[in-house]
Amino acid sequence: MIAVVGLVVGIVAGLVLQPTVPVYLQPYLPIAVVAALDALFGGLRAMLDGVFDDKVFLVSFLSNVVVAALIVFLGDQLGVGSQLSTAVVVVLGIRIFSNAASIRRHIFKA
Amino acid sequence: MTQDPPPVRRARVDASMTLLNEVMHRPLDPGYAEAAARRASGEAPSRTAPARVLALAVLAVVLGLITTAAAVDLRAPQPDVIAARDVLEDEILARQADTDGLTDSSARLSAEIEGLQEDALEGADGGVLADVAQEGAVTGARAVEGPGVVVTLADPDTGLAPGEAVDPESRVQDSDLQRVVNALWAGGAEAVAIDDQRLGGLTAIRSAGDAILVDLQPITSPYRVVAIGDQDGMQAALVRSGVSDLLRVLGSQYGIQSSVIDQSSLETPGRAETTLYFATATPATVESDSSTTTDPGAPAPGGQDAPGTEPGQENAG
Repeated sequence: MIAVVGLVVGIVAGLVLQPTVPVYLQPYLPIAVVAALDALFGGLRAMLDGVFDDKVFLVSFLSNVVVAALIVFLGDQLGVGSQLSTAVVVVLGIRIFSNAASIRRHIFKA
Repeated sequence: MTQDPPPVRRARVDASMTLLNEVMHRPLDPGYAEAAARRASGEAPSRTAPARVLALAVLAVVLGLITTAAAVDLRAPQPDVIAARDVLEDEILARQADTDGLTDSSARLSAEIEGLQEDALEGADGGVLADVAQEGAVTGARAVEGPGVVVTLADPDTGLAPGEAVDPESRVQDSDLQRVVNALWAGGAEAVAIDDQRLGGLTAIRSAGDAILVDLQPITSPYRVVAIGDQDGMQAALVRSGVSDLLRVLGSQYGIQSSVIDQSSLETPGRAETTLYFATATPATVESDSSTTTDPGAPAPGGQDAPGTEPGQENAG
């Protein structure tokens, strides 16, 4: 619960404060947001499954974002940034879809 | 969709797709299951340790902040894109002002040349001055005034709200103007101008994107085609060549408003730019009749379309 409340506080703070992102971080933003979405859906599903855990949720959230940014960074250095971005989006997209489907089954029983 | 690891069994049929299976069938982080198992077995540390709670809360706030900042930043238009657009806009305006200034100075210089020419040829043999004037009128180099016909075509609903898009098909097309101009030339027009762009032997009427270009100058609706010459001949040619029918069809099908009006006093400007493609020495004695002057409808040298040579495609929608 602490994690969820903290996230909400962070989101509200981000909306209110409108912090600017340094230019050198901007290539990693889209992937980082997708990774964060993946972790969010995973957490939501875990909550519905009854196995939610604050620590796991936050660590997976953090590692998702960092690893996604790292992959894009590596890809940029190797000249395959866009391909690696696509790979990350595909994998995370499939996971988001599966988790969303599971959440839907939990909520609508269908 | 079970979270339990599959029981040990023979090699799976889809063993080559383990990666996809992993992604598809175990979308939930296995850490959740492990944590749940630890909790069930009573191994989990006390969840109320203050330091731990604080760390969790701080981490959560920071992550929420980062994600929101990223999302907000991605949604905002890129400032350098806006800046680049502003620079381009400024440049366009500056260049337009330059062009206007140059056009003015060109017109002034043309008038000056004309005056000097008249002064210089004043005392020459009878026909020369008249010849020069006649040729200037035919080639479009000189401004011309006299009776003639005005054909006006206007895009439908020009006063439309800016947000609404007009079907580009329903606008006046370059081929419409080509047909009108061709009919006017055929009917004996001596000088034709569209929106004060004088047509010469090398003028092209074509479209580029949404705009119609005359001599590469964009013109906008309403298009006012001014033709100076034999009014009856031009009116007859408009009817005979089917342009009147075309205008009627354009009006009934696309809402393009058009009018054909005789006027007793019209003016067309001279061409801003006259390029001499062929120059040969004139014979010592100039014939007084001007039958050898350039015909505006003659095929143009070079690759440009002359308005008189392009029959203009049908504009059926």
